[in-house]
Amino acid sequence: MGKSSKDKRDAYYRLAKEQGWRARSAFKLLQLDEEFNLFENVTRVVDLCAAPGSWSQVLSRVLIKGEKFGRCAWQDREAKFRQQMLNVFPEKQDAQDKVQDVQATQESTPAPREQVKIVSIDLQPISPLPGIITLRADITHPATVPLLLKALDPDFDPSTMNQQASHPVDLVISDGAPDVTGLHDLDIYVQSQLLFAALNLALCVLKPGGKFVAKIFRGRNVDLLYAQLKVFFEKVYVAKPRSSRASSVEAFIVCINFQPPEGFTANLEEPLGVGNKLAEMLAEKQAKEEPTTKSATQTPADKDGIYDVEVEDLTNEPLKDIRWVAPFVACGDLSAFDSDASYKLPDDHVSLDPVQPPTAPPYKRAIELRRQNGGAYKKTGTGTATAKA
Amino acid sequence: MGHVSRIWQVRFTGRTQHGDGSPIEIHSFGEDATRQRWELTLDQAKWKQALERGYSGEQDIAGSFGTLKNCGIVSCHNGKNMWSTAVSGGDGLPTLIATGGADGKITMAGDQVVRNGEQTYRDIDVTLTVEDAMRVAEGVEEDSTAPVEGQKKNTVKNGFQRYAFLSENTLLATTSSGRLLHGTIGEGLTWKNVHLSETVLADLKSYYVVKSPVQGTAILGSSSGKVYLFLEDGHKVKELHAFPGKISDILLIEGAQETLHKDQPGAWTVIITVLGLDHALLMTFDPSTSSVTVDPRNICLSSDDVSPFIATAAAFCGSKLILGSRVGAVAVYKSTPDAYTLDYSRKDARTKDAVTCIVPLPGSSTSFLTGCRDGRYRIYTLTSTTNSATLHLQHEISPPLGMIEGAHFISSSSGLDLIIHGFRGKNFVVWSESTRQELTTVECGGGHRAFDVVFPSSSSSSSSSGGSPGPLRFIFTKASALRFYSQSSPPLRTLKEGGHGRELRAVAASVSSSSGEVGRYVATAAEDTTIRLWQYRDSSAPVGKEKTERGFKPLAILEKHSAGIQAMKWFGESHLLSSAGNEEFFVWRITRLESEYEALAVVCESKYPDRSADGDLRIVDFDVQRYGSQGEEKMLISLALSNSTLKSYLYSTDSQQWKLLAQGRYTGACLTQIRHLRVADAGEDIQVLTASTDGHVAVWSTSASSETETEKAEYQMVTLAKVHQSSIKGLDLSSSSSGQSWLVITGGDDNAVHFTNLQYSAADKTYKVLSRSRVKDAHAAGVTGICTVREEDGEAVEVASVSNDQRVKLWRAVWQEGSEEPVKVTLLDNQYSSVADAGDVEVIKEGRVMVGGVGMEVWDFGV
Repeated sequence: MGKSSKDKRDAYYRLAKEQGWRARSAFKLLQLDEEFNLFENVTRVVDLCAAPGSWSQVLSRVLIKGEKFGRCAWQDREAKFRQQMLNVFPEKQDAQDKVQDVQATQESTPAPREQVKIVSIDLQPISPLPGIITLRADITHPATVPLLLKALDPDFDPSTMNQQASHPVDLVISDGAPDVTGLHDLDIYVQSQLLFAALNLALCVLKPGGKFVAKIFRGRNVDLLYAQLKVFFEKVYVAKPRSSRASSVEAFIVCINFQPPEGFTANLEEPLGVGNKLAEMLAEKQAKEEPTTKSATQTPADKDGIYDVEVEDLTNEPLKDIRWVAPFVACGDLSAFDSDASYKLPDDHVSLDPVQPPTAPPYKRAIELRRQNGGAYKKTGTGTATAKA
Repeated sequence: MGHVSRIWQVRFTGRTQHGDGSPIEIHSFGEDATRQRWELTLDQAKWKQALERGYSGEQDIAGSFGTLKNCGIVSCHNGKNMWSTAVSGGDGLPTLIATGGADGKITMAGDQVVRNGEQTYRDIDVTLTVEDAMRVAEGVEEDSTAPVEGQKKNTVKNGFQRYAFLSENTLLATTSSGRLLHGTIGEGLTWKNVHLSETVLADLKSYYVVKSPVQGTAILGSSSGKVYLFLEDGHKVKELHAFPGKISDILLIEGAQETLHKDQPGAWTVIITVLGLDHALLMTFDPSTSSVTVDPRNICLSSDDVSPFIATAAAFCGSKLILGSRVGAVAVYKSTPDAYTLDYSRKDARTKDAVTCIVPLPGSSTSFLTGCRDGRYRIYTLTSTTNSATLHLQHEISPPLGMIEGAHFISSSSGLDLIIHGFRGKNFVVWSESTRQELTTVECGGGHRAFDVVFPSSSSSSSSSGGSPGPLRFIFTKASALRFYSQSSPPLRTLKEGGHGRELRAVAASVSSSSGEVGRYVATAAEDTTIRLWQYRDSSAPVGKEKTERGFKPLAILEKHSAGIQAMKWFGESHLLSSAGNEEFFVWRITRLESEYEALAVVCESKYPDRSADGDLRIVDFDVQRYGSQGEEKMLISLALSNSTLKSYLYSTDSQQWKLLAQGRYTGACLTQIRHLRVADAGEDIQVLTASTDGHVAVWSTSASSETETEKAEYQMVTLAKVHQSSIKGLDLSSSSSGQSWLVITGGDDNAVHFTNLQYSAADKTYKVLSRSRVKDAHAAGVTGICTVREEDGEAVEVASVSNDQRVKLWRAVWQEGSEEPVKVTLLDNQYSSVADAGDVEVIKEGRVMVGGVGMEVWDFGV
């Protein structure tokens, strides 16, 4: 797909280039923040699997430079107009939106925060960003912990072998995903392992009350994963920003108020996600909690007029594992651009180049080799054609 | 060369000891669904040296210890990925290689794949120049290796020109100097020179046609217009007839010799075309009397085109003669007392490519198949009266060949199999259309070369013994040398049939418009851009010794989409409709052929005519239903597009004309679902329901459905309701018999299943959402498919839902027409599904629910 047709197919790809983001995923974090107020009172952040750095870029611009991004950054004005025309929104909500819009545009003076510390880690190099410490390391490896702690606190002494941060962080975010293979079981497994790696690292550096946000694939057994995350946090949500395609299995787990279980110390030598430790912790937690009795009476309709119905379960299927489904939250309001829709662009639309071309893509070597051999398909080569292999 | 994407496996095969420096055999298996054989030649001394002194970056770069040579690519699976491989064998043991792919297929290759015992051919692969052949041939005259008189030495390279298999074991090869070499295939090839007189040799020099009309016989046509006969019995060449000009071609007439010569057993007829003549001639030879007759009735070649009609293939269909042309036309000729005259002609090839074969369908007197160099094969049915004839195109398919050169049927365990041969790229390919398997791939340099191929028992089409499709013999010219290839069995055997190579996105079952029978045909459509038609066999009540086999029998594969398919629906049993990205929307006509060859005939009857300037929208969903009560059959087709618009068209299957009735535009959010709610007869309102990525359902109405109006109408939104938090991915309706109440069941990306009670008021033509009931955590992940399994009119409905959490659930909802109370929901079943990334769920037979995703499965939800 060419740049221009991608602009039409993918509104956020176009917006990202227009607004100077390294990747369209910046909008995912902004929309998550809008819903969950992720950056409220946050000064110390760790960004895992950060390359090419769009999430770090958001952190840099919001926390360090103090910029504000309202929904006007991703609002489709035409859609809003049509929604009003077709009466998709009740009037009241609309009025609120207007006030917010006005506020968003008025508060244009940046308010940088004090004492901001942001550390970004990836296997791939990340182009420098103002005010951000970047590390090239493997988040699944125990040796990364001292590196990270040192980056967070220059006073940290690795010889103590302590794996806990002396000045823990407020927020850990991870937008990491594996190179998908197409074998769904494998891809979901690898993604969950990546999530565990991020969680294990977060457990070392997060302060009580802190937040954790990570990409998750909503596939088979995701309810087990939700239940396990719930061991460490008071509230766990699964959120889908409008900028993430509905056709993708991707979603984000938003964990709020870190509450490590009593007596728990994180240790990357014995990471969670391997063995039975996590399952045992989960069972322990479950045992402490009082069983919730479901009310048989019909609850009244919610503000939209929708009834939540209690389902009578006739299947009697014994549950082997403790499962729990995190509440789903769609974020980015309905006037946001739709990542699944095609948009018509004006005839004079100029397609911009990506802000940050890949610094070290896995196919880099292949491109170099091809260049050495005289370009694509040897068409541009000056030498004689090499013998067929 | 090499794989075009990630390599998943590399295995050593063949011998395990490699002290002698002979190449080491390696196989690699990749995401591009190919298996590749490599030969690694190692400079072992150098390598050992390096091991001893330790590697150093400068000297020991890749390639310095040996070479890795690619020795062949076999594509064994559909779509992407070959997940599993197993290799066995070693010294003295045969190598066996099994592979399994994302398509669910398991293939087996190696040394001992097929040994049917009986008609096994020896595996032979030899390359010869004329000189090589002459040196070993019997009966070569002393001077025959010297240049023929008049030729300057070494100016013309003496090469092979044409070939004809005279039987499974014999062939005739001709050289550019006019020599005929008769070859016999045993353990290898043995040659015998055919003695020719000086005059014949001179006449056959540099140009001629050679064909074998019946076993043991060849006929040759020369540039002087003479036709010669060669009989293996006697080993002599004899002049048969002289025509008034250069013989441009000799056409064999497929499968008609017995009916043409009822009274003359053994006689045969061919069509002779002569350069410069406006007609072709039928020539008959009767070996019992050695008599030649040329039919006085000329075949008057006439063409609608400016260029003359050059016949390239011929067959009889009843009393009509069918000819294929050099530029892709197919013509019907009727015989009159004086001549054969043109009755009807049509051209379906979009390019000017020759029709290479015409094969009557076994057991049919009106249907035949044509192969064309445009890579497609077509099936036509002839309808004729005494005065006129018409050909109906029933089937048009592109198998994975770039050029089709021939086709034949063989009997197999499952009936008749269609075998096609031709070229793809640089390879000669034999393809079984019935088993979707490549039976052979020989690198020959590409099409446009002299070749002939023979399959056992293919010469006698009435052979009743079930032949295996593997063995064949193929001879061709490459760089003026001859190469002969004989294979005993296909290089690859399918142990288990597969399906789509990528995720299924739509599943649909046909519904008979007369009997209401569901599921005669099941269609599946996938991300791999193909549509597959199946027959679902489910004999739960075994009768006698019948196997109680449950499974899918493949009927056809439709390859025309260029993007992943989004939606697909049947219109009765006669048409299938499909939509995809790039604004692709096709109407396929499906017919069952009246022949012994059991396959569905499929032709793409029409495509969406109204594409936008860029043509880059996705047609995410559509609905179709019969429109108008009398007269011609019409479809009302409503499309949901990714740019937030909906459009309704009237499509006539008779005229294949489209007419835009109405269109509407939503907020900008992508529409994901569309269904017709109320479609009255022409002249009344059309009302449709849409769902979108913003989680809302909307009802639209348009009044101007009058067919006489030329102006298109606008859809007005009449009601709107928020149901889901985000995208609605599955939707089905349960309507009451009053036609004014619906329970709309939706599945969302927000894990919820919703039941929306919708009512139409005829009095003021309004729609009202009476209640919305939500099952919040119906699944642990997004709900991607919904279908109603059973309904109790206006009271209750049983619904199946599928999700990315790989669960299939069956719900029962009790509702009441006109009530504002929420529905009562019961969960009846909750099962683990092995289908990941489910895309659609559909009832394919009463109580049987099919789930399509990564693979497909059928659930029995009782009756």
